[in-house]
Amino acid sequence: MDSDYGILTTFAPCLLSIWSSIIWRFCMGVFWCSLQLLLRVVHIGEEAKNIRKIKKLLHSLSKIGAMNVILYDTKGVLKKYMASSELFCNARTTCFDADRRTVTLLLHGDQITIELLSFSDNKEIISKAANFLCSRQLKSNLLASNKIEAVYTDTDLLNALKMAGCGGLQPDLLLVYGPARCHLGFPAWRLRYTEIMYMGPLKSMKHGAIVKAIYDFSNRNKN
Amino acid sequence: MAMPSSGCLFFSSSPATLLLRPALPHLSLPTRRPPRPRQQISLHRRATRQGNPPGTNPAAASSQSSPATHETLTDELKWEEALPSCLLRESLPRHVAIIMDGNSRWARDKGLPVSAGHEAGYRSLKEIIRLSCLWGIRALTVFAFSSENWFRPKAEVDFLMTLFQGVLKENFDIFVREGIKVRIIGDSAKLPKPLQKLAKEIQDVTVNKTRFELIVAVSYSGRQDIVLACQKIAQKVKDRLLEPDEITESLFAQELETNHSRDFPYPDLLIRTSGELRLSNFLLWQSAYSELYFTKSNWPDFGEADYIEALQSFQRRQRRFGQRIS
Repeated sequence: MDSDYGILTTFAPCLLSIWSSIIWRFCMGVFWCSLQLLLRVVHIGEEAKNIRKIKKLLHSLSKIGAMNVILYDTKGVLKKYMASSELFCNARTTCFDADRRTVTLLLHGDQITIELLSFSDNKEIISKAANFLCSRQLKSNLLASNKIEAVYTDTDLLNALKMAGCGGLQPDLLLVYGPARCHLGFPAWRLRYTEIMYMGPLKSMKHGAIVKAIYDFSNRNKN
Repeated sequence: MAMPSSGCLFFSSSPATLLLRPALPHLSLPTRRPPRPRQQISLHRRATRQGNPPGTNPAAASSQSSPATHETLTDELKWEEALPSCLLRESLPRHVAIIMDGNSRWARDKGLPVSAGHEAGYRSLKEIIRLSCLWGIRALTVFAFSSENWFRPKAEVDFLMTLFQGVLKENFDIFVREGIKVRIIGDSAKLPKPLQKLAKEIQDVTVNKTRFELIVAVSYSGRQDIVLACQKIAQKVKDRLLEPDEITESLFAQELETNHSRDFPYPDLLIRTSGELRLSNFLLWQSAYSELYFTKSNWPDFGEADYIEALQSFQRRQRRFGQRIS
């Protein structure tokens, strides 16, 4: 399947680059609609500095129909590139959100929203959320005549995570690029039922492999 | 053993049709041979005689209670003989976690009742515990029953609890004799009272065992683990033992259910069977740097050969965690 898509993209780049996305979408048929809803995550790790490959990756995802993508690297290298807009300098439209963690682009006529995360958005944010909950509890106890026992639920922590700045959606699929098959500290709260697929080094990234991964994901039985 | 949210639990028979389960075979672990009547050299003396500073074995160095620092040369030779030649002892994972998935699918594929799948799954677990002890892996965490599994039909859940109780009872003496520290993590308040009592008893009796740690996640949720850690911290803040600003990542980690294992709190390798590629709410915080290994084998089929393959895969990886390889 990878070789078929490889031939398709290399034979007549000018024409096929226009038609290929239409053909793929036609062929993918049944799960094309679900692609619109998928939130894909790409975990890049140490290879975050390979901006050219990351741009190619985003173009691939956009062609396939990704609407929401999270890019994660442990050290936050991509966040720095985002700040300088180098990552998105060729995009038609760039719209940053207020805290510059999320950007909405127009690639190939399709809108794609990219959220950038790093290791600090995992355990550090959970600690901050715990801080927030504890502070709120302390204030409540100061005001109340009887001290209330702290009993937290998933919802309490989720709201606290949102206040701390990392309460986004859970991704359906995590594509891991890099030498190690680890999630390397991707936000634990958002990883509960995420499918994890190892894709190899980013330098070997191929569009066909991404399509295959998403195709395999779409055909899996969820349980 | 039940699977986490996997839809492959026991049959949904009515309680009236539940048959008495035959007694479970005993877990048999390699017994220690008595020392031979000849000079035995401790590892420490052997290492220094060879010019190697003691503790160069990473597995030994990393653990305060590693058997390698207490055992004799005869015992070390027995381990090396037992370890398959394709595995390197110094780069074995110290802590392995397993999501034991696929019992029902295995039974369905063979035209057997789901209960047979779980029986077979139990046999696989015994074998993996035996091999882990034999090869020097120090801790094994297994996902037996998730918080989501409580939504299964009552008959299934009751049967699972009965099975789990039977397993603990059958192997109680073996755990004690073989030096296995047993730890049950998860929301134990939901378990039947007799099972709670038995679980507490086995944990109390084996708390000082050091040869091997077996952590069984029952009624466990990775998210709930994090929430409960928040709650414990909130209690400390309420009791003025801690200020909210003092909450750090390491402090938080100490409040997780896996914190009891000071030497091996986080798994080095996390295996999931049956071809599913998810963590399913298992060790979400703790698995940040765990090597993930997904295999298509269903859990009852996961044997020595599959385990060796998983360990070999672990040993082949470049585990850098952000550092550059020169």
